[in-house]
Amino acid sequence: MVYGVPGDPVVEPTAWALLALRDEPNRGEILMSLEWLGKNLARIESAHSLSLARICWETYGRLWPAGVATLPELYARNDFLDSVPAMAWACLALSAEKKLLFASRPERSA
Amino acid sequence: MLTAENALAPPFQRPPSRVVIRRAASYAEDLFKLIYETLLEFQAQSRAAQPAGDVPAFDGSSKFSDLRGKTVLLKPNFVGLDPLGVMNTHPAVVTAAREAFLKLGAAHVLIGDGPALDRDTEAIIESVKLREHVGVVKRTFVDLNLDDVQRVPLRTRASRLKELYLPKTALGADLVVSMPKLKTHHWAGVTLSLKNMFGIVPGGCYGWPKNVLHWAGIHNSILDLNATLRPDFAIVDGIYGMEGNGPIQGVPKKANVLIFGNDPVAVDATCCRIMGLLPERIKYLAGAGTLLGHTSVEKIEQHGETIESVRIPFAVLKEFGKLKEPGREKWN
Repeated sequence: MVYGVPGDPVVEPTAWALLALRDEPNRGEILMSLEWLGKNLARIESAHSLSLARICWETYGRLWPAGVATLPELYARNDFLDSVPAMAWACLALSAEKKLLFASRPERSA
Repeated sequence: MLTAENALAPPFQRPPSRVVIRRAASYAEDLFKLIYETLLEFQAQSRAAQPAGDVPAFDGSSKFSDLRGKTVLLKPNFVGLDPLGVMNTHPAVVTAAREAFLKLGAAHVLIGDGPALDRDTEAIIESVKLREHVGVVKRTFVDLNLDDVQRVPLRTRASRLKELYLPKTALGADLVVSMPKLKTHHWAGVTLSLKNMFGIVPGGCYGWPKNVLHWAGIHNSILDLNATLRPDFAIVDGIYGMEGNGPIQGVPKKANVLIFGNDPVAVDATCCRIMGLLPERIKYLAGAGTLLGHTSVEKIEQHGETIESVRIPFAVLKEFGKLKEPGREKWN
């Protein structure tokens, strides 16, 4: 819900939600969201969303598909708007070490 | 900072405001020519009406009369991903305004917004295809959600907010131009040049969708924000507006107008009348009319098209039926 009304799905919040729910990978809603994300990867036009989508996609153990814009392509086009967060997500997306993101959440107390 | 240009004053102390309505049937028209010629008229009027001595100008007149070397910030309404081009201020209007201000001598004309819904501002400006209009966006666009900020005490106490962190780009601009879309709003009634200023409140400080303003009361927050950083000028994109469940989920409404003015309150009141709504029944506009500008038709010098000639009824949600002009309640 966005401002109290149903909004259209968007890549960035979808990726965030999937990352937050990464301990429930087999739930139906998660699989539907992943399917939606996969269909929309090729339509991503910003480095910010692309980075988060890639982190999310690989967190769920999926192979990054061909045909999706690359970060260098987007960077060459718009320089990330000098956005520090976008640059940070891009660095994380391209990092081989994603321990922080792959780690499970702390155990909930009973 | 209190200046004569944005002084808070009751209507009886303010000179009349000036609003111009222009017809524009599509975004493919020569909007630069239309906007430039209209701004020239405002500039000529501002030069002729320069107040003498210490009498405050109350609007952006003194800034507008000579834009040479000035920095102008255009504040469009880029609220969210909008591949159909019906939700956000159209980039053709923004670009035409930018080119017009440059031709008037401005040294820098920046475009800045801090979208309220999506953190990914870049995705939004890609979806509206701003780059196709202005070229390299990095040189002209400022993401106000992530700009450097400065703590600013608010000049009024309509809400419980006492201060806000605001982006330095907006605070440092010589001239701030609010460029909203002509839209209804499912909480505020309408979203025009005053409500559009929510976009300068940085998401980087207050999160998304800037709930600090909603929690403090949307109408009162609009008043406090505009009392503190009142736009000097407004250009409303009404070529396509939005009716019904705006500002996101409404229905596109073709109104074929651009509305200009040196008093954002007067501009918003005029927009309401074009939409067939009563500005005095919109809480924040009624409040703004006591301190920030004019809502009364008697105090607004209307130029260009008449309101009646461009009036087009906008549907509103049921709970806003009271906003409609008498006898036109069945417009939905």
